[in-house]
Amino acid sequence: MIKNLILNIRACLGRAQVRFIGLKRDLYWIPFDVLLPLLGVSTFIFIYKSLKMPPITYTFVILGGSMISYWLNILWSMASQLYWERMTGNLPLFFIAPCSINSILIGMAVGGIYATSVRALSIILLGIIFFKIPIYWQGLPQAILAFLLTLISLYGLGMMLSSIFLLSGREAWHLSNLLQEPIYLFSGFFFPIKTLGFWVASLASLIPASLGLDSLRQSLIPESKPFAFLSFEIEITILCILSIIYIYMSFILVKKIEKIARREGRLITRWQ
Amino acid sequence: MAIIKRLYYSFVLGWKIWSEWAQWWIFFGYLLIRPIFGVAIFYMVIYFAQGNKAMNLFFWILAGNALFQILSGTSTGMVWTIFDDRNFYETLIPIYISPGSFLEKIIGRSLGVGVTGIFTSFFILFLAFLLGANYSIKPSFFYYVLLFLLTGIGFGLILASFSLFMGEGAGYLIEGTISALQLISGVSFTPQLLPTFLQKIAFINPFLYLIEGGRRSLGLSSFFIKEISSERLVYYSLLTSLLTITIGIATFLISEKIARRNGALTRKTNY
Repeated sequence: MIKNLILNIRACLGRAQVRFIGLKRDLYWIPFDVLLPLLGVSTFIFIYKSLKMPPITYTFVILGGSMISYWLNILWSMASQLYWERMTGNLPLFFIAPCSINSILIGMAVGGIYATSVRALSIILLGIIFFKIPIYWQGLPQAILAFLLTLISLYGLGMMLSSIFLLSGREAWHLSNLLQEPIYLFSGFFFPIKTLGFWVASLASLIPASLGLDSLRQSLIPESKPFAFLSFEIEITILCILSIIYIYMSFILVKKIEKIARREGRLITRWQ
Repeated sequence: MAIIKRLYYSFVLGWKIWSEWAQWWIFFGYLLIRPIFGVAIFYMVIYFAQGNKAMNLFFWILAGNALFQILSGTSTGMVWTIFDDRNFYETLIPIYISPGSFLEKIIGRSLGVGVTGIFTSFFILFLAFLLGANYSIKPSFFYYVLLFLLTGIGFGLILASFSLFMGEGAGYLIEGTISALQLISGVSFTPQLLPTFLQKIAFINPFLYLIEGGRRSLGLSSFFIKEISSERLVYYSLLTSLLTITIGIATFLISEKIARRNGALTRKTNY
C-alpha cells in the first residue's frame, strides 16, 4: 500500500518535473511569458477606458486575464495532452508503466499550475504597475481560498477532458479551439457573469472558472459586490462540490476510456 | 504554369491540414462558433458598461476585428505551418526537398489558412448586420480584403522567418506580435487612449492606416486620423501591402538560407 503510494507520488512528481524543467530550459522566454498575456487582455481595459468606466472594471479584466492563462493551460496542456502524447508515441509508455494513469495526469496538472502561475501572477503584477488597478489586499486570505478551490476543480475538469480527448482523433485541435471563446464568455473573464442573467449564469456556474472568478473579484474588489452573482460563501461551497465531482468523475472516466482505447487500439494509433 | 500548380496543391494541403482533414461543412461549422462567441464577448462588455447606448462603438469594434482577422489568420497560419510541420507532423523536410521553392509552398499553405480568415471576417460582418449595423459596403471594401490578405502573407513571412529558428517560442512570437499589433492598430479602440510613447508608435504603424481605410470602405466614420482623405488611404494601404510583402519575401529567403546552414530545419522540441 505505502509502496504503491510512493510509486504514484514519484510518477506524479516525475511528470510534473518535465514541465518544471521546461520552464527553466526556456529562461529567455520568461520575459515574453510575463509581458505578452497582458497585451491580449489590455484591449478590454482600453475598451472600458473608452467607455469611461471606473478602474474596478480594469481589475475585472486583469483577474479574468490571469484566469484565462489557467484555462488555456487546461485546454492545450491537459485536455489535449494525452492526444499529443499519443501522436508523439509516449502514450503507450504511460499505460504500461506500473503507476496509475491518474498520478501522471495529476503530475501534468501540478507542472501545468506551476508553469502557468508565472504567467497568471505576472498579469496581476503588471496590471497593478501599468493600469494601477485597485486591489483590496485585506481580502487576500479569502481570495487564496477561492483561487485554490478554483484550481482544484478546474484541473479536475481538465483531467476529465483529457480522457474524452483521448478518444478523439485529429479533431482534438478543433475541440480545444471550440472551448476557448465560449468559455471566455460564460466564465465572465471580461465582465461579471451576473450580466448574463440568472439562468445563463447558473448554467455557466458548472465551469469552475465562473464562480471562482466571481468569488475572487468579491474578495479583492469590495466595490464589485453589487455585480456578484452569488454570495462568497455559496460560491465557495459550490466550488468544493464541483472539485469533488470533477476529480471523482475524472478517475472513473479515465478507467472507462482506457478500457475502450485498449480494446479499439487507440492508444497506439497515430495520425487519425 | 508549374508555379500555379504548386501554389494550388500547397493551398489544398494548407486547407486540409488546417481543417485537420475534417469535412468542409463540419469545419465551417467549427469556424462559425468562435466568431459568434467572440462577437458575444464584445457585446457583453459594451452592454455591461453602457447597456445598448454604445452600439456604434460596438459595430466599429466589430469592423476592425473582422478586417484584422484576415491579416492575423493568414500570418499566424504561416508560423504554425512551420512549427507543426517540423515538430508535429515531421513533414518539413519532405516538403522542403520536394520540387519547387520552399517560399511558394509556404505561401500556398498560408493561403489555405487565409481563406478561413476571410470566411471568419465576412461572418463577423454578417453578424454585425444581423445585430443592426448600418455598414454601407463600398467597392473599395473588396480591394481592402485583398490588401489585408497580401499584407497577411507578407507579415506572416516575416514571422515565419523567425519561427525557423524557434521551438516552442513560435507560440510567443505569434501571440506577442499579433497582440501588440492589435493594440497599436486601432482595431478595438482609438490609439489616443494609449500611453504617449505607444501613441507615437501607433501613428507611425502602417497597419493603423490599413485598418482605418478598411473601416471607411464599410462606410464607417473615423474616430481618429480624420485629416487623411479616403483616397489617400487607398494609396497608403497599397504601399503598406507591397512593402510588407517585399520585406517578407526578402527576410524569408535570407532566413531559409541561414536555417539550412544551421540545421534549424530539423530542430524539434516538445515537453
